[in-house]
Amino acid sequence: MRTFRALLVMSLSCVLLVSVSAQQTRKIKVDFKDVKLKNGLRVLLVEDHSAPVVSVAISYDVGSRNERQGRTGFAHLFEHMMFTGSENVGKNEYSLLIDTNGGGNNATTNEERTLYFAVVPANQLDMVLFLEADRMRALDVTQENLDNQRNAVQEERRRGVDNQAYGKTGEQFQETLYDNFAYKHSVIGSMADLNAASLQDVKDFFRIYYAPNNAAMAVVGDIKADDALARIKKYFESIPSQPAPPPVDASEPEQTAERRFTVQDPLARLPQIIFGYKGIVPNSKDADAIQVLSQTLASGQSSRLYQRLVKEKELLAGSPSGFLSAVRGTGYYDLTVTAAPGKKIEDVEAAINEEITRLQREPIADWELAKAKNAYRRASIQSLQSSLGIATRLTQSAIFYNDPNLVNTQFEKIAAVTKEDVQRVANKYFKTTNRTVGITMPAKAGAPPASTN
Amino acid sequence: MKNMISKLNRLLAVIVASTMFAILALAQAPQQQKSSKGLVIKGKAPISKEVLKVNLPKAYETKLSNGLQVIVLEQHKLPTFAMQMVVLSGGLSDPADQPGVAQYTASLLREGSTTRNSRQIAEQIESIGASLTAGSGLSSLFSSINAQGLTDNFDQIMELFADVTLNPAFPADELNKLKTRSLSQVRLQRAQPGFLATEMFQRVMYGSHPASRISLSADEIQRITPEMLRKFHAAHYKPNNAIFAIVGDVKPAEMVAKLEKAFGSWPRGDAQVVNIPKANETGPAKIYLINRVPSVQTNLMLGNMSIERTDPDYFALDVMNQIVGGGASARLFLNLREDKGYTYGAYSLLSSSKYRGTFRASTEVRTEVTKGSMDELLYEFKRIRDERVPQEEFDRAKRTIIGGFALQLESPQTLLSNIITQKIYGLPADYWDTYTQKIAAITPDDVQRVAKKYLDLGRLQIVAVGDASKIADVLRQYGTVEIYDTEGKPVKSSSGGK
Repeated sequence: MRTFRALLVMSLSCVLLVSVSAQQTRKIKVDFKDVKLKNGLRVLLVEDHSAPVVSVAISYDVGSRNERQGRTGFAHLFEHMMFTGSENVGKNEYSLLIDTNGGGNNATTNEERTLYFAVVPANQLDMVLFLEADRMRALDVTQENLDNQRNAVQEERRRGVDNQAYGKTGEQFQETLYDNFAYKHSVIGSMADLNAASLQDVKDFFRIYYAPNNAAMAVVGDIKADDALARIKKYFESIPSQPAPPPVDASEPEQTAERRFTVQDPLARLPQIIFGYKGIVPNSKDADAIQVLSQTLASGQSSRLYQRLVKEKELLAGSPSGFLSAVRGTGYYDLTVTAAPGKKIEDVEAAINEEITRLQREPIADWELAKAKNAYRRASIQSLQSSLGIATRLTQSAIFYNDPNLVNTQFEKIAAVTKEDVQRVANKYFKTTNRTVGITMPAKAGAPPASTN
Repeated sequence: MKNMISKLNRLLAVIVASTMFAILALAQAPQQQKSSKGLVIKGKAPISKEVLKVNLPKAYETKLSNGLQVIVLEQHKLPTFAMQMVVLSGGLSDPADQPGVAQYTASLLREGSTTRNSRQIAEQIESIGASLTAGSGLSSLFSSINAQGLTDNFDQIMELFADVTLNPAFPADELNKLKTRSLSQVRLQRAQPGFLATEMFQRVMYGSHPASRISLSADEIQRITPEMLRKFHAAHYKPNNAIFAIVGDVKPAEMVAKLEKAFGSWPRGDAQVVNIPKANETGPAKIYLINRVPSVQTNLMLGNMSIERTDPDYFALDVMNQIVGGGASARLFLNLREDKGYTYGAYSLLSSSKYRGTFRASTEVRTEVTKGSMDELLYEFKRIRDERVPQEEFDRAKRTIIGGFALQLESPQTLLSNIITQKIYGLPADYWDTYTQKIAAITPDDVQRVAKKYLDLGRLQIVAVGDASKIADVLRQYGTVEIYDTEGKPVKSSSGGK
């Protein structure tokens, strides 16, 4: 079986402005095998023999939205504990063995999932399977290691939040935009809650969430699918399943009035403003249209905000950033811009509003639609170059939407977006009453950090 | 995230190359290691004893009649390509009184050609989902123009790529706008402790050498004129002073024809020879403290001068760097984080160029443990000098480099940049083919020898960024402390003061 089948189909997109010749493009598809083990572990396998490398990704269906009050930051702290040893693996032996056998590994936590991944030479597949299975089966935690990793995580927080310009803004943004605790707190968590985490918390969390039936695993690379599956069964199938974790109520009441806050930040040098437009359900037709809108508004030097606010009016200090959040529940689109020296934040806000209004009143141009679709098409093709990228996407799509085949269909969904869709979602979501606006102002050094709602 | 290893950042964007690999039983399997508080080895996981031996794919190389060197690396897995024009003049070719000219010349290429304005270039390249960038560093050996896209759009992308390379207009209004944006960026950078640490470190290591600069001052930015850029382009952007390199879904024969069309009429010229100044040894050890208030962490960065890229000690230093701070399994990380809990990460970095590079360690620690962290950093600098690295730790460091080297080759763009590196530094043609053998030949004695030679504690330069009122006295226990503000200006310090 070959992983990447090359078919010849007509190019989907015509490009305006630049002459287009009759061209053909290859269609790329990921062929994957989708198996559920007896204990509920979902396994996704892809053969790709282009390099003697194999990637292993495991997404556990647990993230910061599963945390309870008083334990913010715990899902991520727990992620660190997964490297401190299990029944047959010592502290940091996981990383040491992968590093010293030519591989790489890491893990990452967000609101929705905790993802562990490794890339190794294909002949070390057994080693990775052994290591991953051992910590899924029998994590070995100690108070000393918990205290040590608590320190590491608190430094991670200081480095990324407390000692960074604009660091506190993101946290307050999330707390203001959301009503339900599930998303109303940061992934990194508060210092007080990190301090409160106990060894018993770690043990409980492991039992509830780190079960094979609460995870999806992908093995992608220079493997034979049947052979790899046999090895996976050998290491993983005897790990007992657990009762399904309690469901998360992430429901959000509809927002009816604008929310605003201001942060006085002694580390910031220039005013910054963040807008959050709430209510977008991910993996939906609306979300696809928002992706096209975002390309038009904020992506690249041809984007409207770059051309009008950076180049023409010189209101901004640099490129804007616009992202659709990746949560499964109620999502949002956030737009962040930094004012150029001497420019008033009110003027920046007014100029942004003007561009939003334009998106609501007029359809986007043909070339803007083509740009968004072509950008997405290229990004989705390029994401298939790495076995790790494929493995990661497969596990996340399986966990989030029970649809690992999104790796093959996502860009077609974007290709189906119309100009009318874009205008429709601009009107539906980009309303004043539907947004959260956060302004960060540089405060005098020495003044204590302050914020107002 | 568990940690921030650069190898992993690379892996996240890795591209699987159809490289030819062979499996070879090399070296021995990892032996039993000694455990420590940060690392416990149970030794039960099944490990294959084979280590990948890498056979690099051969690139097609030729030269156009005007002297342009051409490198083509075929990679047909996906219908994409990445190409690069490397002009062999960068910031090191700046006129002495005009720093930044190479950087601005490259940055302005996208901002207007004789037939397209800035906006047209942006719209035309982005509407086909492609990317086009150009840049050079203040102390760089070269400038480069890069384009990536789908093979479908090759001809359009190549036409734009050639246009910005050959026909830049350097419009005055676009230069002014770029200056305005740069001044904003300079301001934002000064909020970042990592930037402040690196800026000061380069400054104290290199003095008046061009490598001392990582960003331009407002005055230097304002002095740049379109005429300077035109002159730099005319003097340095010559086919016989450039390498064109491409990797992806392309065929060499077709490529040469397309290149003749796009670049064949580019006239050859006298390439100016760059006179690269020698980087001198630093003065005696000193501590430079940047007072950043309110900081809750201290950023520490310390190091010595290292070597030029072609120095035979490169391989031993590479292994030394791996042992000291090459990732989450190296000494700094296991000691400062996994044992002491002082930091989220602690790493070392070896740099080298046509002038001497540096070896440095860096970490960010909460203010309260600045002293403990200084002690451990200095301990690790001393330990690698004074103690022969135990054999098992030594072997695993070498295995990390050799195996990691193979994994890097998942990325065709890395393969291509390796070839360019080999050409820029005039390294032997088989340099990358024999790289792993050279690493394998290094012994613990070699590492101790280079550690003693280059890690000169009497000349160790230490930079700290943090709250001076809390850490100045702590740092004075380690030597003379000079205090600066976040603009890089010295602060008059009262006696023993805060």
